[in-house]
Amino acid sequence: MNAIEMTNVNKTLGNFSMNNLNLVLPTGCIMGLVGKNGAGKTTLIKLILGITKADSGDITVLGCDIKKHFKYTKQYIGYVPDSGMFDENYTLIKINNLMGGIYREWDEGLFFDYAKRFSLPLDQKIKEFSKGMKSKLSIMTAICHGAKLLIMDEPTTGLDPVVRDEIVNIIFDFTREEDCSVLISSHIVSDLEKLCDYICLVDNGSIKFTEEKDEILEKYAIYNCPEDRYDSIPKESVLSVEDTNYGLRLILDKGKLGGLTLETEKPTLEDVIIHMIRE
Amino acid sequence: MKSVIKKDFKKTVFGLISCTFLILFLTAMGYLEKRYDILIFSSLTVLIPFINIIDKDNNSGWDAFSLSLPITRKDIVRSKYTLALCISFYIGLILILLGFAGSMAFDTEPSAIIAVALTAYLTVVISLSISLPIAIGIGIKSATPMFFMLYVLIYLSLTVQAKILNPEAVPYQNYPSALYVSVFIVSLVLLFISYLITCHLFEKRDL
Repeated sequence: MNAIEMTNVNKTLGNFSMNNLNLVLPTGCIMGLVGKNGAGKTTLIKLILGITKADSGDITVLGCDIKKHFKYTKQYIGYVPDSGMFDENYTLIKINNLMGGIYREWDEGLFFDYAKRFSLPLDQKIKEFSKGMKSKLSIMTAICHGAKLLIMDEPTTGLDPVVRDEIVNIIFDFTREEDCSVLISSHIVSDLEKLCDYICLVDNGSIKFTEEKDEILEKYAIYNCPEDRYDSIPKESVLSVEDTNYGLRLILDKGKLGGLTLETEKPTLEDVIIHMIRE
Repeated sequence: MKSVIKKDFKKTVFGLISCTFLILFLTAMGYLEKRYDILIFSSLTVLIPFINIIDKDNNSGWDAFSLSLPITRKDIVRSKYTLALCISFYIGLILILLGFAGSMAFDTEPSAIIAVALTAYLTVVISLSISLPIAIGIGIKSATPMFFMLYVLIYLSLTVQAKILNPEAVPYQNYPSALYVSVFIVSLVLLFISYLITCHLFEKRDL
């Protein structure tokens, strides 16, 4: 069973349209959504959750049609939005009471355990929380009801490295269970590199590709090229050229080198993603 | 759905209590000045905490977030209408009590005051029936100009009513109790039609 399956989904929102979206997230995997601002990542997430309704196509979440089994499916999805979710005057105690009434399997003990672990005061209003505290609250709210699928929209944006690391660890903890999956959208590719099994590139309302992270990293290489050697490199293998103080920095498609052996380096996911987004 | 209703109730209580005091003050002024239209106009203040909740839910992100929870769109609309119904009953009750108190204090015929209270109650129900599809179904941001128009229309209608509703010439005072029952039923029908329209609009709304 796949955690998410989208088949030929289309949606038009004013001048912006998302066309022919096909996406599969296997159960137990973490997928990162990357793309420019306004590419359609948040809309894609909202389509999966049913917050925005698709004009056509099928969306299956945790093996169920989201339209037919709306309430049942939502019991097992945790959502972390990119902005706020509760009234700023709420305290953790109020949130616990509210969510306890909404989710059948809300785990009050786990919620308060997380609050203690993250040093979140129970009786302080959310408006007095820092950005990091709010992010932690969003995530703990999303996972304290026996969620099997966690969907996160830029959870680490604007946070300091320490808090980001804590959040990455929460996600790792969550995916320790074999049947738990995560879809995460982020601009911080280094976080995605730590976390993800799959990378999905969204651009201008469509999914450009979905590939395993290791395959992406295996496919490309970085070559610090002396300027006089540039002409000997097959041009079809060169994805990008950067002129640095130490010569040319090339991103190469290893499969198109035609047997040429070079002393290459393994690229970071950020190197490849930046190139792909630019392209 | 119960916890969503509870959440909205808790948020409204303080605003409703404040508005009750405002209504008490304005109504007393209305009696003293023999301007019963003030009573009707003051009853509209109960809409403020209610619209405030819708506004807060929209601005805090709760609206979009709630659709990721195991709550259907119909549940969300139903919870708001349950609150609307309770608010309209509450204001109706307060106005009738105020009517009796006023008639005793100023030695006026009670049925005349009750008729004024009933008109005020119906005005609240009509306002809610119009404003809810706009606020929930379309969205508060685009609905703001509509609210202004609504208030202006109600104010204009009140100035006309003010000429009718003076203590000497209250048109409903000798009507049978069946009229009051009819008004009550009409108000429920109005809210129900408004509920159906809001459900239809909200089902299509992208958040």
